[in-house]
Amino acid sequence: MRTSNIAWEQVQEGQDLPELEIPITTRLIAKMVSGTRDISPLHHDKEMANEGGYRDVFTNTMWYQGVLGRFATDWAGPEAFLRKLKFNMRKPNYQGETVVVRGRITRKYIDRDMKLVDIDATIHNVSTAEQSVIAKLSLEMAPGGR
Amino acid sequence: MQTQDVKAQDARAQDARAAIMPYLNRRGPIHYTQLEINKAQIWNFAEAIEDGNPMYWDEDFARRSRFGRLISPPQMTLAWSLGCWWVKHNIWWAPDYVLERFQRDLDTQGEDPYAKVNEILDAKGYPFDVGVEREEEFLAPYGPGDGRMIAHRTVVDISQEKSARVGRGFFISTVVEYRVERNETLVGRSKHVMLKYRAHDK
Repeated sequence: MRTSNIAWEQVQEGQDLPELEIPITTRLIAKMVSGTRDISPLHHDKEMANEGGYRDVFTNTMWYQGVLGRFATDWAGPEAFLRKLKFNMRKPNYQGETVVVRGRITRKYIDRDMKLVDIDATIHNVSTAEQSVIAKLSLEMAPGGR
Repeated sequence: MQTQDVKAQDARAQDARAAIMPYLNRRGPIHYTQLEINKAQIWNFAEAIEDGNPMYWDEDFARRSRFGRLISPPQMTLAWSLGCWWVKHNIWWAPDYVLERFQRDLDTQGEDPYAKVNEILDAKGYPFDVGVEREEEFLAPYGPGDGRMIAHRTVVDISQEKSARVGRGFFISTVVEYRVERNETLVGRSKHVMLKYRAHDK
């Protein structure tokens, strides 16, 4: 996390963003339910998760929204603003597993006076060695990169 | 599986699908969040994500920033619109007078196609739902001071019944427009795909 901003001018297509590693602990699951207001039993009740076809509780859609947004602004700085987010949840990430968010800048451009970068990101599940989430982001960089 | 079972399964799927077709592409009533956009919920969310962006935490920093004030993570759209736990799952607790007031609000808003689709599929034997895919754009920053969040939902697509890893069900796409109460500013637009399914049934 940074409190200064990266300037769009400094950024290059093909550049990798710093990785973000997150262990999905039981405490993380508890904070996720509280912080996202998602009380769907699949995300906190193991028995119900089993009944729903999952072997354990797993992270929810809102957690991915949050983590992908954080991944972008941790790198670009607080005055960057997420403009687009698209993600596909291919596999669940279960309690007890560890994930790593990775991303690369695929495009750098100006649109309607906004200095933008597109980022291809993945959430890689270290425990299963699978890409569980595939994402695309468009991030408006802070003007001037103060 | 026996041919007869397959036929019965197909008949059930077609019956469920036919029951929800009338609710497709019907714009739902306006839903307001129960609470105004507020710092406490922003902090809860940022804490869950361990997102230390000072735009969400530090009033002084935020005032000096290009946004001029504390903002919500734009990607909190869904978390804001989920609202109270008793709204979706009416088995959780709220005092009776609050539930009654909420029911009165719902009655004046008119039928919500999204809620109706879920209700029908629950009754037809597809009780679980899980997010599959989400696409959204964030059109303007928003934060405390903007009033409540307003969500406007339209169910736009339902697939044929499909076999997924966790069971059989329908992929349902919903488009949502998010506005804040102040000036009814459009702050986001999303398309969300969920799987509504019955488990352990391939």
